[in-house]
Amino acid sequence: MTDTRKYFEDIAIGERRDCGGKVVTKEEIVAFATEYDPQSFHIDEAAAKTSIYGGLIASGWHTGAMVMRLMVDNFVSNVASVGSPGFDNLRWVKPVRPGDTLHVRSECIEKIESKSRPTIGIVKFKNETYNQKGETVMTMTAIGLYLRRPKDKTAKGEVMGEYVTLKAEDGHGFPAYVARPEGKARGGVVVIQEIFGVNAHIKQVTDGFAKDGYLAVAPDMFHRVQQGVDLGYTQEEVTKGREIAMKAAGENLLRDAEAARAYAASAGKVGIVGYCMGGSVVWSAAAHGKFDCAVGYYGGRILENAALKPRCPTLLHFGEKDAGIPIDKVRPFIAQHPEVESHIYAADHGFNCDHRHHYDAAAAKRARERTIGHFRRHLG
Amino acid sequence: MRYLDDFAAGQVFDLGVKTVTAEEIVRFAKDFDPQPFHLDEAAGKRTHFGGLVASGWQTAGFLMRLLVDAVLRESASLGSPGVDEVRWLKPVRPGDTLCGRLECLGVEPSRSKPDRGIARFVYELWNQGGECVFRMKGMGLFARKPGAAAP
Repeated sequence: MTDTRKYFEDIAIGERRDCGGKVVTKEEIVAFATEYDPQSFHIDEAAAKTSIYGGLIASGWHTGAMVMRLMVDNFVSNVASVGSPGFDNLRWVKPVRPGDTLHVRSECIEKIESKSRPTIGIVKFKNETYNQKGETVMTMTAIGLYLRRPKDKTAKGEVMGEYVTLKAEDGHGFPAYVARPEGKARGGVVVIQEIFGVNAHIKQVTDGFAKDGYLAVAPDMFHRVQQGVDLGYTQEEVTKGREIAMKAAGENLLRDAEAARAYAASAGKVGIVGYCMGGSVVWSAAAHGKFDCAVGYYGGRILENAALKPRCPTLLHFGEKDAGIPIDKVRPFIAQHPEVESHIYAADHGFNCDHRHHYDAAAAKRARERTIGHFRRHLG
Repeated sequence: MRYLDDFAAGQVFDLGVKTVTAEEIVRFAKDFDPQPFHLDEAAGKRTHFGGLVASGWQTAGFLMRLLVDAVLRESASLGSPGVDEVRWLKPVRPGDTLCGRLECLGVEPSRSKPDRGIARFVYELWNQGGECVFRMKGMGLFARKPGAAAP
């Protein structure tokens, strides 16, 4: 079975998570406090009214415990965690009252490799609890002990890369999946995801470019909307992916692609390749970005931006049966752009993805050969 | 009634003892921390804890209860702004008898609100084997003795 747990290596500094929706009731406040913190402003409504709080408030330890529950339900179950040594700097900033709804925002702020225990890494998170009005009620620095990813995990179904933190020009920090080649890199390749996030398939594709000798970087293009999106291909997930993609669209995508390019530039010239939504990003990046070459797979918005002129050698792959990018509109586009190397395959949208039923092994293989050829010519 | 002015650096308080049961460990975990090693002895055996252990938040709750009963109940406590350096040093298991200890580190009357101030403490829980299982530094907000604040 594939180990999908998050290891120390899979967490990036700057990575954020948000969860919540815990409604606090008066009964819960009184029940917790009766057992663990029976001070009058936690258990006696009348006495609380005349206290400095002006009404019943939850024990701070109750708030901490409710946050723990949110963390367990939303984050803890899929991480390779071995507990926590404690936490630092907890502040009860504002009272929590009956009827409040609690949410937690958690950001990874520090990673430390344990010197005494090589199988363990220490990860620190800034956790901020806020209520339905957006007011911060509690802050703390949580500390987690995570297992290091075992070294022999590059077998089938496992990924070979790790997460790094990139910084966009507007100062936004965000995670990117990076796979490194053995030996000296031929150049860099930025891999732009589909609407499904940097999921197993995108990591696999990124690993593939590393195996071909490139420093391959897949930035989380959805981080401004929701970080760490990792969807499959069910109808429900397609709907969810589309919703996020709608919100993520715009110039920020090019900014984030540029941050990934700058990172990959340590390896030399940098190309960009993208799939589906990523194919559309590639088309814009070829026209506006600093990439040395570009490869786009079935980008839905290429046709509406047909007037763009690529400034670097560009290769585009289209599927003949792609209902979203009608072939009778692709043909005039190709005629309009003789400077672009375009190919049409007898395949459907998403033909490169072996996790989807549209996967077409022959088309995927041919397109990949052309893609690698394009990189060899223009990157090295 | 104990006010802010009745605390001073170096004071040590014995907070009394609390014996932990498996039933209360599981009950707390179901509500707040449903991880296998807090819910079930057999599941706990398969983890690095080697058995059922209390949620760290519950351990903090045990300390809090001892603190309320021994000190805060008869004090002018106004709550707390927070705690620092909270450490779960050893697992707390069913049958453990925990002994609470409180040491005052100092007192800081509020500059903006002369009727109150902060007392800083180290809070600890020790088990029957003489091991410190829980330690934290923290603050308590207390009212000043009526008339104690400088005019």
